[in-house]
Amino acid sequence: MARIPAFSSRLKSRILAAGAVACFGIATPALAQDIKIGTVIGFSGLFGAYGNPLFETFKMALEESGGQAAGRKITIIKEDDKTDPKYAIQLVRRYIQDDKVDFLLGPVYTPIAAAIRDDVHRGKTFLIVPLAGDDGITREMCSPYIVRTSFSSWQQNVSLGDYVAKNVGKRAALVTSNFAAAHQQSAAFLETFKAGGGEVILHERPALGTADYAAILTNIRARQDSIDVVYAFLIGPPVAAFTNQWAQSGLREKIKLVGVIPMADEFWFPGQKDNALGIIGGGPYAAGALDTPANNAFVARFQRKFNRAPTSTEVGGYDAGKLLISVIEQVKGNLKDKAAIRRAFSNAEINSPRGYFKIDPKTGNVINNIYITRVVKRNGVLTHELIQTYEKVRDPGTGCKMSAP
Amino acid sequence: MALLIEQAVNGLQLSMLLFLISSGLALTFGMMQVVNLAHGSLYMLGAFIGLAAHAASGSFVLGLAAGALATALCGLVLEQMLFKPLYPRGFHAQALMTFGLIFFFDELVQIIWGADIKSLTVPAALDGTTLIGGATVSLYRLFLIGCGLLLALVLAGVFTGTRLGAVIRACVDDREAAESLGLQVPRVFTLVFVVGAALAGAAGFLAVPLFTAFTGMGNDTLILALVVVVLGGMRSVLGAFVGSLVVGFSLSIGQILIAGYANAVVYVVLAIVLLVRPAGLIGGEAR
Repeated sequence: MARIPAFSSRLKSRILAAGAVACFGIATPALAQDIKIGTVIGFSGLFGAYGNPLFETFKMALEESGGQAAGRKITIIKEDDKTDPKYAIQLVRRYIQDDKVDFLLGPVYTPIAAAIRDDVHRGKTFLIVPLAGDDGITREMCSPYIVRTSFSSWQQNVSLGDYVAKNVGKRAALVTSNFAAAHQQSAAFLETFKAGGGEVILHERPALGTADYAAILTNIRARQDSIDVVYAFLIGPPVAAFTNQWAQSGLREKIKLVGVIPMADEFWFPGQKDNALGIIGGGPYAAGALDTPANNAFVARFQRKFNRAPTSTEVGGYDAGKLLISVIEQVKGNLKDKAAIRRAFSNAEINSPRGYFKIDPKTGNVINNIYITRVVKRNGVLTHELIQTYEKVRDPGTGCKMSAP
Repeated sequence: MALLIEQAVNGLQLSMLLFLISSGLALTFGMMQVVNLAHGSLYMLGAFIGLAAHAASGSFVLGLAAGALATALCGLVLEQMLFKPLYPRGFHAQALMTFGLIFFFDELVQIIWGADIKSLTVPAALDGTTLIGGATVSLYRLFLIGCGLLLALVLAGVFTGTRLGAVIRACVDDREAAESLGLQVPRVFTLVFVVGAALAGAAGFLAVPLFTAFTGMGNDTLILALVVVVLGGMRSVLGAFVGSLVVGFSLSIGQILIAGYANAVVYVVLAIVLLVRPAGLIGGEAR
């Protein structure tokens, strides 16, 4: 009994000393702890075609800053959300509760954004959306923790609708896939198209994945004397199939084909070949249309790595990376003040390849120019030429009731 | 009137394309009673190999021949190595195995040729449109109608007018009797399988100018081909021909009437046909 007090007091002081050293030792790594990003992106299947390239450009943007910001290294937890909303919700919960990520990157597929919105908002974890274009994400579903670097469906189409009504033709036939995103996109187009005096002669809604458009093209041909322009919005391989069948139908001579730029861009050119020539597009980015130092540098770097020019999908990923770096640097690596991070998003000035870029403090959506383009051939390569620019197009954010974090 | 003709031609060309695609399945699934879910994969291989041959030679005909021959060879290898051991094991084993082949070939194509979508410009001789009774018809689609009709005639001729056709029909109708007569049933089946594969590959290449080529392109096609074979009647190529017409026109009319749900029309028709004639339209007695 007598030995214990002596033993324990020496032990106590040793333990205290060891504890002090340990605390000091633990404290230092904590300051330089990595910043964790969790991906909510589909890397396989149909949408993997978009998810993979934009993730690569996201990483490209991080590499340009040496993979770090404000002295803290950025690590990415790369998981596939399998383009499945049920799976994505579990993934996001894991990221927030277990992995304690600082930022989330994604999604590509719009229904996933709706599915994870509440977990993101309640979990007070910032989500950077690099692609999913559903208007609702920055309207009724908006949250101080959600920002988007791609576009809203509305943004992409309103400028195009206005341009087409004023410069191409006032009588349109629409061919849009029968699903929610397509309805949204065509509704936005029609908003300004009709305001500019346009009218809809025909609106076909083929099922998603339809390969043969012969019947629809025949319908258009039956009314070709009363149609000036065809607006198309399709998803996947049918984009190329429709373009080729359109060219084969002989209707090209009389009727112009228009659509958002991703209906005829570098992603589809190998499948469309010269059938894409002359298609008029609208959207926030086209590699060949913007002759600026920032864009030329980005295109050159991308071309070296991937052997083709980048599309707006890849710019969405790249700008997400640059935005993240800017935000972390603005708050000097201190991620505890959420309000400060929110302000940093709205104040960020990144040198985006697309030109003007600002996150709208009211909605979290990007404000940028919308370019009207035409597919042309330069030096034997299909690319876009710029016809007109609509400056600083901003989504109205109807229904967004956001309060500061 | 011109509109009606044009829509009729649309229906016919889709039917003939379906016939080209499903004739091979009619031979293997319909006649040999072998479940080959990898039929769509052979369709895809024919497209990609044909495209590679076309890129190397610049010739559409060479591309078509290469696509058909390559898939014939592939069919031979598959039949000898994978199908032969599974013939006695029945439908489920074959279905599982060929289902696995779908994934295998989808990945293989992506590894070899990448994830880009590939297309083929219509050969100059078949480019453009022509007028039939006032209706504008794409020349390439007319060409496809021609191919389908030619194939139908050739197959009909072989099956009804040649000894080989009689031998095949004998092996299919009653295997034991055929064997007892000294016919080499396994060899005959291999031949039918290889021809079926070649037809799938050729159809794949012919469809590229219209539908492009991409990983997984055979999956939707497989389902339509299965519908065609089942709807038309499993025991004969005539059944596949009739089935193609029914499915092709159903799809075309569906597109005109309710474009968003055109596929549903096909399945409704399938359900009705099977309720009335469970063995298919030309099914004869179900065995």
